Amino acid sequence: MEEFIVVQIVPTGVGASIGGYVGDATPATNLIASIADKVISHPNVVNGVELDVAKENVLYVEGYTLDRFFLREIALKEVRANKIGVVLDSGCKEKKSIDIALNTIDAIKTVKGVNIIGYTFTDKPVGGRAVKNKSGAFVGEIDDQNIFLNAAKKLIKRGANAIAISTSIEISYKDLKRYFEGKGPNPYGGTEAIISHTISMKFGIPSAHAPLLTLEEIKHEMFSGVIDPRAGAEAISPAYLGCVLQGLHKAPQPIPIEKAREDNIKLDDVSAVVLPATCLGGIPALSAEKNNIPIIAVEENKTVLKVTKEKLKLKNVIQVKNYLEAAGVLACMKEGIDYKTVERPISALKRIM
Amino acid sequence: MSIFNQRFEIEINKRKHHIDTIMEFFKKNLKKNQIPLRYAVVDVKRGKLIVEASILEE
Repeated sequence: MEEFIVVQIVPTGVGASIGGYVGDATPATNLIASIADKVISHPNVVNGVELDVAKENVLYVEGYTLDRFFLREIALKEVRANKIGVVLDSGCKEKKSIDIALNTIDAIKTVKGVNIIGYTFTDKPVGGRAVKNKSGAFVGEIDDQNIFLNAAKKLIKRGANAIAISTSIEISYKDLKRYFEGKGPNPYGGTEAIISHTISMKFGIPSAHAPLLTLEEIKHEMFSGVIDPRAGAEAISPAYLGCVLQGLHKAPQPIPIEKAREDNIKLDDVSAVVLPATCLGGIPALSAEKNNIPIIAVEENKTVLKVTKEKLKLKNVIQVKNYLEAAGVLACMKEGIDYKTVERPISALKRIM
Repeated sequence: MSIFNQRFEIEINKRKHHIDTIMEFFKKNLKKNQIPLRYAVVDVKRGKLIVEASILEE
């Protein structure tokens, strides 16, 4: 029997009530992973500052790579371990912030045995800045992506086949405060996404971003009192590279589809895609619709968007109230049980003319 | 060489899947040195898909 593979997605920068903070979608993801043989997910879902407590069968796939997977351009090859290079933003001038980053790298290397080949600084500040779109989602702008691409290239030439990158992102403290109060999206996420997307696009290897905070930002995060529990991991540690390095440790390598082997994971191997019910406009959902892969849309996971199955007239969507119900539907799918027969009322048999 | 954000209104084609409509739109309307890095439908209005995209310009 082929493996039961589920994709679990919570887009970044859209204020998802579950997964829009730091690693707060991990329990739901691990629940799905207790049912599925494998779960393909992305950094935003499981990154928890220094915490990455996703189950071993959760595969860490960067967002751009995930999009290419859904467009049938690549397959995913599981690995025993990657060799990670780390890019640090020379735009951060504070030695103590850099020391925290370097100590984090050393801690993950020493305690978890992750192969980190080394680190390098960008030649100039990366200068990423968060921008709020008309939809309310946070995205990012970069003036010159070559600043961090050149640094990544240096590490790849030295043998890195995965890149962790940590940069300073310009955000408004007003947006950060709203986020900590649970009233607005994470302002960093959209900029982080486009940086890692660019590296994945250019080099075709796993990558992930961690914010590099100034001491002022660390002070805001760690000493703002007791904050929304979903952001709790940010208030106890500034070691953002921790979760990224743990995630990249065994992140699958993208393989061009024409070179894919039978044991690589392809889109046809996916049994279901789980998404917030108001966030069905991304490539994974639209591709799932085209390829007749069921989408499990979770109502409780609210976002700033309202892109529902009704608006897009999507036909392959199973709407559920919460991740507990999603888990039930997935368990049915895995066992070959029609989930509708578990609900009441049960529909009468139809005669087909 | 930059990454910027843009909003597009794309006419829905009822005979096509939305993903194909969007990909064809980008192929037709972006310059050769512009790559849609990250994009999604953020609304549907008056028969159009409202797409917000981060575009990488090489």
